Amino acid sequence: MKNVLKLAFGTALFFSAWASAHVGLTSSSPEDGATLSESPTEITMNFSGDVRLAKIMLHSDDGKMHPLDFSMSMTPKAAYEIAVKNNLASGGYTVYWTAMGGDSHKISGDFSFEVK
Amino acid sequence: MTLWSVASVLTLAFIFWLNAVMTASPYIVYLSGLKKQSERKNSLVALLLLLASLLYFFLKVGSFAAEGFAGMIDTTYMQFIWTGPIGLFIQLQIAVAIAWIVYSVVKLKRIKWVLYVVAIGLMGWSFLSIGHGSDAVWWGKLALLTHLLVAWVWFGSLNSLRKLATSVPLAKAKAIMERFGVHMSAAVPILLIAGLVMYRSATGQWIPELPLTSYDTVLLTKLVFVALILLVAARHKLKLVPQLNNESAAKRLKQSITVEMVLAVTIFILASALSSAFSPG
Repeated sequence: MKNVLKLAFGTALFFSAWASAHVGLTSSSPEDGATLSESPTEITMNFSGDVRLAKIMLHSDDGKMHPLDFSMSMTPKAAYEIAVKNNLASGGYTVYWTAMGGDSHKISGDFSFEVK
Repeated sequence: MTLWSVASVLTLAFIFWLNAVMTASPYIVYLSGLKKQSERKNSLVALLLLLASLLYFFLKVGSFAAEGFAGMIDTTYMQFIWTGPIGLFIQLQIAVAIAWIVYSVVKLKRIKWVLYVVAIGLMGWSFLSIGHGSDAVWWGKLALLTHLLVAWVWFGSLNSLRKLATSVPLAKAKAIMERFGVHMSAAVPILLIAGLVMYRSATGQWIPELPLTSYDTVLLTKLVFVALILLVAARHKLKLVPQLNNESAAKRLKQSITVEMVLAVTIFILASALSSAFSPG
């Protein structure tokens, strides 16, 4: 009986710890890996379906966070434009985002770019 | 995947189980011929559902906030979750719990039935608002509701059947188990067909194509457990119930139903993972 319990919960937890989601980011501006000659004024994100964007953060490579004009999205949509509040100095940057898909799943990702 | 997600999957599986116990409750009364249901048990189930729904809400808030335990009470994320599909799911489950509390204290049979139907309707609606049911076509939603209803009656009956195996006279226990076996023989094919239609609705195909997605792999694992539980159920129907003529046979059956319950819980956990953590395609 104990072995059945162990097997059952072990299997369930193994698969619970492995997730995927089918709605995802299809394109962004700046693109992942892009090199820009000047600071971007906004970040745009396009998803393959409607999502509610919960969080977006812009970090420079030195770990500093840079403010974005973002308020949490209460209605789902496929495209987002988020203004960058300050000019970005030369260096590498990463955008981290979290959203809720139409099926209520949490999806997240990141993309990086460089300002020359 | 974070611990938040694992905790959410397990909590959702518990909500599944409580919904199953509620759905099967009048069926067990009908099957066993008991005069009335236990008010205390019904109230406890409703209270647990209320607590599990709130826990699910705070786990989802914590998961999205990603700021440790403090994130669970972040008011901005609380609003984000409450106004979305998960919020609707939780509101509906809370409504089910309230309906069930009233159900457990009301004496009039007609009102009891109305409350039961309302609770089942709310449960079904809640599971259509999250996961792949939310964007399924109408026949996909219908298949999901059918699948849920049959699974809830079956799995929700197990704990009561386990107790009945040794708590009533052997002849009565045998008659109850035989009737249950007859009903489930008709219900299981419906469950499997509805599951197949759900898969078609979610993925656009009848059988998985190679290479398997993570969704397919979890689904196939769930099917392995479904096959195991069907084997256990068949053993009950063909061997253990016909042999139910003495105390030791009753104990053997009780033990075997316990194994069936463990398999059912595993199936619920895998179903919760499919509904809340994995996506087809």
